[in-house]
Amino acid sequence: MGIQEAEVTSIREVQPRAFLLSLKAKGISEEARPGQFYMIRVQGGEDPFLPRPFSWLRRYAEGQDPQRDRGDGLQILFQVVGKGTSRLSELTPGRRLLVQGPLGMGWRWEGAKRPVLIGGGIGGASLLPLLEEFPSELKEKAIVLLGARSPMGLWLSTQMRETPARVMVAVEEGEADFKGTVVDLLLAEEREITSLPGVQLFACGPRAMLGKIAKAAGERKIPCQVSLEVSMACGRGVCLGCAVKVRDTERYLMACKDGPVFDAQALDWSGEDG
Amino acid sequence: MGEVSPKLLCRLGPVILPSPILAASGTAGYGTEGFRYLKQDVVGAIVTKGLSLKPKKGNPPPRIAETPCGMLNSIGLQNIGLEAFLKEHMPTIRKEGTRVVVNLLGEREEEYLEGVARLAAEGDIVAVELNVSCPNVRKGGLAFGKDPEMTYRLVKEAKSHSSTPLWVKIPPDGTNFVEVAQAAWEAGSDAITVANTYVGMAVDVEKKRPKLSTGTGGLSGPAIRPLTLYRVWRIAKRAPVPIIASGGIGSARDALEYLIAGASAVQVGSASFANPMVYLEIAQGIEAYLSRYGHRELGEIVGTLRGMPEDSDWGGL
Repeated sequence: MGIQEAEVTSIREVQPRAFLLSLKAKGISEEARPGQFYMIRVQGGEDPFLPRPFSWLRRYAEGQDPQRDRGDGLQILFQVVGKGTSRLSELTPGRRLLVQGPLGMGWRWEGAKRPVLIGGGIGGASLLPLLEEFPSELKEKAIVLLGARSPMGLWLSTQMRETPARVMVAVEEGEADFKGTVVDLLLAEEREITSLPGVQLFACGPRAMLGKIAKAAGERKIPCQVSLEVSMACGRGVCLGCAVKVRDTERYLMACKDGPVFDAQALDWSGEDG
Repeated sequence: MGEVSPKLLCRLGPVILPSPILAASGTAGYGTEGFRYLKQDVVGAIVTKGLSLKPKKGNPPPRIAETPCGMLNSIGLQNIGLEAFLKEHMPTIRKEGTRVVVNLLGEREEEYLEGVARLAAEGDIVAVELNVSCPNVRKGGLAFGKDPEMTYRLVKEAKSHSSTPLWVKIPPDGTNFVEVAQAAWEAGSDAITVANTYVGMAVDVEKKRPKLSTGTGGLSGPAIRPLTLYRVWRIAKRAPVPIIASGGIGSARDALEYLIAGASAVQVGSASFANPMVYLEIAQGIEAYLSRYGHRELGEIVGTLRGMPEDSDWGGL
């Protein structure tokens, strides 16, 4: 983990209200593992006051193939949802941002035989580095399910399709092969997906979606990891602000240090369905 | 990077620190988790997360909510307990030479006193900071630090149980904060930390629910700086002991405001979340300020505020 003033090299809107931010971050990008995150300070740190956690999308280096090479840069994909992300979206190249990371525990995929990656909206961002990290034979066996509100929100699927993985999309509004949520898609493809031997789920997206996937995985006794999006203050385990309820009622886990990726069955999902 | 000018040497009664910039309780863990420079002289001392005799599980989520220029927290005093701290963290603290102040919690007077005695036995704790914002279970939950008499009794007893320097961190909410601070120094507190977070709340209008699981929480950040600055000034002009300011400090300018208003040291809290380098930036900024005005030492600027009219205690109303 490190900290540095990272220079913005580019920022562009890849789909409505979603931005791809590229940063020069030599020294703190090389060791990043899929599913880990960075804390980024927005502007001077008074308003908005807290830094924001973002999972990383890619490590890249200018002139290199971003899918193969570990370079001196980082890419972050974010959706504008509030004041902080709105300010971030207004950044221009050359500006510097205080970045801490990589932080947290990412995806654990060692031993996976048939990974199914499930992403809701921009939440799918942390799944791309996971997919790209797989050895080629695992990439070929991987299935990716991505959900979006409209066909406009599927930029991530174009990136996922650059790998040999099978990519399926679900869209709630507008024209699509599958209309509904990504959870509907998962359940509709039961025979094709969840009943396959050795299947393992990796899910990231809104909490309600993750709760439904955790339930489905639990009922079918399928291993399932989820990456939680939780408000954080410090991101490194000192403020204890990002407590997560777990089945073991004796204690809380911290999303920033024990997660953000958790075994879905270890979490307490009560009251999280909507 | 860790070198600080001898000009920043800071005297807090019996305690001498290489820098007046402290890491506030709850924002730097137990003194072993920080970035490397936290253990160098840039940070005068790290105040631990509040410790109680027994471990505390803390409050259910959500525990934090961002607010304009600040944040609310209701961590619920989650901590590993004093014994676990001494066993798991003190060896590292000793090995690394970190200066540590232990922030001590209690719900009963006996708990504080037992903690103070236990820490005195360690011998190398820089100071004990009594967190008197905790509710006294015997007094229907009234915080020790909102009642001058309870504060006096607690501090007097604690002093008789220990020779470790003792600080009292007072809550800012009561209108009697000057009386509470006075009770603390009259009972023998070696310094007073002014102040803690302010009780506040935030509402999620879509859900018509509070943003924190506990409904209310403690407000910190730049939003509270003018409020705490006022309290520091009110207390410092009467106090015969050093004042340690804590409230919304995120830059050298903020720290200087407090020093000029009468604080001898500052604690930096939630500003370190967005910027863990903040302690270093503040140290360098204060050093530059001292040089710019030809001061030879930090003490020369403490309490140098000029131009405050006689009747400014009440907000100019």
